[in-house]
Amino acid sequence: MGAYIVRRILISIPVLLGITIIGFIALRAAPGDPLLATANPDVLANLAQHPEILEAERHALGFDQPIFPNQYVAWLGHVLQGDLGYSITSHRPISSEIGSRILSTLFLMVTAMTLAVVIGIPIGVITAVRQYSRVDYGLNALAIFLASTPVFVLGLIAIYVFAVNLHWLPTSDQHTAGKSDFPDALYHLVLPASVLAIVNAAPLVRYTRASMLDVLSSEYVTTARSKGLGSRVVILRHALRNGLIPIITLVALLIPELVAGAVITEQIFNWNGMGQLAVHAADSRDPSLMMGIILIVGTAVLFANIVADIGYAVADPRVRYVRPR
Amino acid sequence: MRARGPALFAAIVLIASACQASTSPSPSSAASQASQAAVSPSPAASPRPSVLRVARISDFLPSIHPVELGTGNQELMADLVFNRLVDVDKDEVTLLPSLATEWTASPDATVYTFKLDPRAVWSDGVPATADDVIFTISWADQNPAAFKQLGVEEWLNVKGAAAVKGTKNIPEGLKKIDDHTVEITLGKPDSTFLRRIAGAVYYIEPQHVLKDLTAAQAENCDFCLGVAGKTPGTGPYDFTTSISATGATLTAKTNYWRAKDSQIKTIVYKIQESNVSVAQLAAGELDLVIRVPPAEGPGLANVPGLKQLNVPGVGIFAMDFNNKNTDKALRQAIAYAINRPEMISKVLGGLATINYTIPPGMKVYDDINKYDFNLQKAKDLLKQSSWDVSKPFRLSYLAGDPNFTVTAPPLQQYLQDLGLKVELTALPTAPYSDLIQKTNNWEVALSFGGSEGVGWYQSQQYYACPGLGTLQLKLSQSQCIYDDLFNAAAAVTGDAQDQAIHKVALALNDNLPEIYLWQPNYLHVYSDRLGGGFAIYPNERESFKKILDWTYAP
Amino acid sequence: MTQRDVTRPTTVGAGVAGSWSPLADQQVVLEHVTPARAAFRRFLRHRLAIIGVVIVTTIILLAILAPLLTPWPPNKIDFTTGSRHAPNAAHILGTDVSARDIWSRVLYGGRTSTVVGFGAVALYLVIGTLLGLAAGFYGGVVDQALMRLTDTILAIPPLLLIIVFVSVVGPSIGSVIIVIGLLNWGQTARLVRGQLLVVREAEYITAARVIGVPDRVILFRHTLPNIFGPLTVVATFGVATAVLLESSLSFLGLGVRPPEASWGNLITEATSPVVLNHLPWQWMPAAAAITLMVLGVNFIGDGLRDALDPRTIRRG
Repeated sequence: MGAYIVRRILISIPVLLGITIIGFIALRAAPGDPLLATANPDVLANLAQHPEILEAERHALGFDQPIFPNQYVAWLGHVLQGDLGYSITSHRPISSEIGSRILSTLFLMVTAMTLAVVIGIPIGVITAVRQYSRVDYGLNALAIFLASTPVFVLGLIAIYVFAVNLHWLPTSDQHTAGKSDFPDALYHLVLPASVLAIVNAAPLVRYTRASMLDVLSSEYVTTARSKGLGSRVVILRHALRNGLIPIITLVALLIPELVAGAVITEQIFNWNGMGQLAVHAADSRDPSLMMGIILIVGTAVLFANIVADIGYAVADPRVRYVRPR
Repeated sequence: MRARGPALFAAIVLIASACQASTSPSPSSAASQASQAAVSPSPAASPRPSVLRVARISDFLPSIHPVELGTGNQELMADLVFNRLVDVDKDEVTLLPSLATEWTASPDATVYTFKLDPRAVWSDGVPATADDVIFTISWADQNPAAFKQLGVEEWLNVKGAAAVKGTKNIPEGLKKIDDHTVEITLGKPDSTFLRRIAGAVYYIEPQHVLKDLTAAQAENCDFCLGVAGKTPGTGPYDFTTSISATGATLTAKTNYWRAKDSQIKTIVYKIQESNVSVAQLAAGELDLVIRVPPAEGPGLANVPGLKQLNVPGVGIFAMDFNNKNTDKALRQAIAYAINRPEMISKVLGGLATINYTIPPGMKVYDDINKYDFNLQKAKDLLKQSSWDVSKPFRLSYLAGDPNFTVTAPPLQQYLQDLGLKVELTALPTAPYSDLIQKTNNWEVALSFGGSEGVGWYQSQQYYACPGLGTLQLKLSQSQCIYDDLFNAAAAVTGDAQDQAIHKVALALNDNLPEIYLWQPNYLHVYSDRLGGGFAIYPNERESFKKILDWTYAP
Repeated sequence: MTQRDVTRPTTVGAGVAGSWSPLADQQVVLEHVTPARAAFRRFLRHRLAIIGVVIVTTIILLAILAPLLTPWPPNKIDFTTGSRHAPNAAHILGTDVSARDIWSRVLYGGRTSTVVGFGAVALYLVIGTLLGLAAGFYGGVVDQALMRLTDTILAIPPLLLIIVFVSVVGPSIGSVIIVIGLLNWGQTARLVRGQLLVVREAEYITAARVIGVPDRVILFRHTLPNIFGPLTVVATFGVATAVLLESSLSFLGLGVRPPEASWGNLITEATSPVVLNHLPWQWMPAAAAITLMVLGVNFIGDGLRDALDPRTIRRG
């Protein structure tokens, strides 16, 4: 098992390097000069009158060097020393730019994921146990409907109903202006986290239902039933435990979807997290910032991938850790 | 039974449209709803005394040093934390004392003397003196290439500025008469000097904090990034939460040296998309929003406690031409082909002021050609031009900016009616700048912003001869006449100046290096608790200059 | 010989339609090939699937016949009516902020969504099938490398990568199709590889081998037909995912290039509070269109999966 984990981690390193190399070259070679990324006519006029400003800046940032390998190697060298560089728009270290946002995003995503699991799995079990009942049809239809609605439509409708018309919840932001206490933060979390949770709970309901149905129709459950065990005991002791094994992995598999949903949720609710940072960085083509985001997100995703594999392996003893041919 | 999904959607749509019928709540229902929401502190119900919650559109660079000052939000913050030598009143003409209590100008507009307020101190108690003024101007002259956003042309016009570039020397034109008196001599006469140094980028910096600062450090020193406690100023406020991408919090000084403390103790300054601000205004979460999209006005009209200020802006919506690919006849044809009154009334909801192709800070002289809509004349001019109508005519603009996404399709329609094969090119900021600055693959670009409406002199920077980019493409060397014309106007005053400006206007009006189309309105929404000297200036970037006179009834 | 690597279950339509059945996908065994006609009959009995077919066909027809259904070209400015006009006889859904007919833009937006949906899926089916075949056929290092690549692709949050990519190449229908296509072939590749490995072990293959049919021929001739069913299901759910992704991108301003109409960029209007609160006709039709389209496609996917999966008979 230990060797397996080590091997998975070792395999991930070249993948991560590959992602950063492709990202780096694509970003630097793309048309568009990040130093000119402004539309303010007054600023453009100033730059036009003083061309030496940009020359000096380009030299200071090393943009006058060949992109690969020179600039990339320089970047990688700094990263290995823990230095992600500076943002060319905010002039702050990338590590602090990303650090402050990652917490906001995690706050939102972890809450949403927990909610999604707490809502999604029980509903999935209920629909499976009461297959073909009205409850099953109703909840299943609701799940497929919600899974078919884009998260931004759901978010806009939620703002429209709960914030603008009912005034129950704030429209956006992480805090009321001038406040920073925890209850206020929770108050602002309710709407975005719920929207993100609902979008992710919907597929979870359907996975759980399908998984439970498979187990319920399997031979050992039939055997257990035929031995005269009560249906509640069968469901809780036998079916649920086995039915949940693949779901553990599915929760991990939902993470990419969760990240994607979070990007849009952050836009709609003015949530100052990684998603907003990514959209901003993409628009201003801030090179170090983009690379920082690629590196962090890439690492997180590969890590989640490994954890999912290991979780699956632990949960299902039938999985073998042999080296394939 | 199985077809629940669509039915459910229909239900949601129905609920939603029912909710939509009840627009904004009356004050009483807002109060009762607030009490229902007992789960949490309701923002609408509890006014926080003397905390002003301000928001403005999200153009921002989270820095405060003049080298990185380029957005309205920074300029507004600079007005709260720092002082310039002089300020300008909301008429954009009358000068007001700031650090200087008195000033004189020599008749030839080259020598200016300032008498500084002897009471002035920095936040850390160090007196603000003539040395700070001389330091600020010298540093700019020594490091002109450090100013990556707005230029500090007025400091660079000081006599001997070019000679101290890259040195640690003080330019010849700066003279300290005594601790509180400075004399500034310009290299060339400029009657607009006093008015122009009232702009935010010309604030006076503390020598005792920044004396060893290098150009590279000016990007990210603590002072430069507006770190709370590390950014002493002479203005009425200090940063109490450091600047971040989403704004800052500022707190009023007690016993401010001007012998008057601000009535507004705390300013929570938020920087965010205007749509977010509008929603928060409606929910009572903000007290002042500078620059709301004018179309949002009617939706906010029923919100209790809010007032609206819908005024012509100082920015301008213009078409910039690529001088290499277009000739004068084509540009004039386009000017005749765009029905500006129709655009304003039918697409912009009447919320813009028509412009007659000359910079809005200039008078509309009688002999200006107004280019009233005339499709026949436009087509005739197009025939005379060298433009090949079978070629695509590339209209480019910045993607995602509603100023352009809304207006580009109608403009495309007008140009198609004229007979051009219009292609729209909408690009994100970086590739867009690249296209405009470095390639020749465009004919016309949409541009919006600037502050030309403040005064005629504001437009000079767009017609300077040297350099790269839009200007190079906009003006060929043979047309490099406007800069000299502007300089000639700045060198004189009175009628002579008016005649000189008239000459610039006629030259621009005929050649049309760009077509100024209209000035979009700015909508500012504010709480009725604000009063006294509260005003949003035509150039809203300078609105906090008189904040000491604002009153606020919590 | 076919020792399985530790592999997570393939999720058919993960994240969108869900309804994943773990055993079926892990083994992807179709021991006895169900007659196509039986599957078709099962599909016809699936009521939701038929509703889905009706919805999707209607939307596609509306998109194709758009010019006949509205007198307004999607980018035509109606200066007489002006911008953000309420629905009236000339404009049944009113006009948008630039004074264009919204009904027309919803219809033409359907073209964009359909083209992106089917285009992207076609692209990644080709990529996924080729890579899956290569992995299964060559095995060893190639298989290892390709499967690790597949893992990575499956785990990468597509939207974030797409944002990066689009910021580089610039937004357009083409780049949206290519980007979605390049980032979503993971499931297809796994499915094809899995099926290839299963077929390899089947008795009739051994028999074929014995009589001297070349491996290559066996694998390609016998794998692809067997994989056709599961691939159809993957592709169907894939269309739903692609439509959702395209609308998200256009909503963020990173999708199709304006002034081209897309459901996503029609909904962008609703980020303006006055539109969201007071002018529902500006955005609700496009929102309804996306949801209906995705719902319809998901229903079809469900129906196909149930029809092609013999175990549903057992279950039902």
